[in-house]
Amino acid sequence: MENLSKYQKTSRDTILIAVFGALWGLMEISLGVVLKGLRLPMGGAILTAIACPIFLTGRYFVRKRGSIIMMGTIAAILKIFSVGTVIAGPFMAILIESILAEILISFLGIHRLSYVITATLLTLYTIIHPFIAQGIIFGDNIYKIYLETFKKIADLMQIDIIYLSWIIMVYTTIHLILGISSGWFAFSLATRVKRELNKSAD
Amino acid sequence: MKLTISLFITFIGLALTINFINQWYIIPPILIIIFIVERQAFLILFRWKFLVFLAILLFGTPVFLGKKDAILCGISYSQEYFEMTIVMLQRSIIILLSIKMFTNRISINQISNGLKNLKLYKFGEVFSISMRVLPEIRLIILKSIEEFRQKPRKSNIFSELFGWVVNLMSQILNYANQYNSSDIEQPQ
Repeated sequence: MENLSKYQKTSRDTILIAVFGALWGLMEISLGVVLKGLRLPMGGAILTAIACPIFLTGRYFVRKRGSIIMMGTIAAILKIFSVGTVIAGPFMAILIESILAEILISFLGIHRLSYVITATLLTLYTIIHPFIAQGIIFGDNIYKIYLETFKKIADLMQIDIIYLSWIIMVYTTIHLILGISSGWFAFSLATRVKRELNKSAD
Repeated sequence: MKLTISLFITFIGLALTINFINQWYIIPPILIIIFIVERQAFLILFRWKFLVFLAILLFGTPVFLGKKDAILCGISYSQEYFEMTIVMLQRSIIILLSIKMFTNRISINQISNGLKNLKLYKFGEVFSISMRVLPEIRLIILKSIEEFRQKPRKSNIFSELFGWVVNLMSQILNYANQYNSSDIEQPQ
């Protein structure tokens, strides 16, 4: 498997990118529907935490810049064509996450810390993504409306801003833990799979 | 397909430029064209969650926020916020209708062929392979899940799960390695 010509390596990388892109897309379609049906909170973060081991494992085996973006684009196209309603938000989320992941991995390299950082930042991104997607769909005046609404609710319910900050911190911490676990798992998975494949090749 | 893509890009571009003044001559033609080209797209507007959100945006926001400088049927509201939400509403409707029109009229195969024609050759090739391997990957996963369910548990669930995921990923990678590389088009 290791002594491949340049063309064979390119072909193998092409196939691996296609396979992992399809796997990511399949996960987004199938689990996405289940999570939506269950109406679980943090559904986006859960999907991202599951997607990270998939594309990061793929990236472990395809040492080529741009491969995560290709996998993400395949997954995003599969998502937007899946049965049901318009899913512009998740489509944008997958694309943006794949771009962010590619930048981080290309910059940091392939090791456990980079995987943990990537998965954590992507999971944290899911907190702000709905606001970004709504900004694109509704325009940036939506932020003005959100800000005014939060202030109004805080005044009406006489909630101190400090309590809101605590809620945001707890929410963010849960995402942080999810992201760290996902990144750690992703690297363990990739290295273990490589060992298994080498064992079966010998 | 070219018409659909051109319409999609045009409508998205116009939606991003909508304001309170130009809305009256941008919105009606777009709605008419989408109705003629793909009236099924309008079904997305009848999702109750979307309608509720729009109702809150259009009727709730001007009543609760901003300076109340106008009255309608005895209810004070903010003219500024009302105009703002009308524009936001129309922008969102046009963007969502355009996306729905695009996804209704274009198939994944057309996208795959289109990407090749656009000289995004590498991605076109990768995408068409992913469409071909998708059913096999689905089968591998379903078979693996079934085997995992039937397997007796020897240790704790987390190490069993990890072992299962490793096994599944290995099977998928083995499938990828065995995939017939003569199916890949030769570089020019």
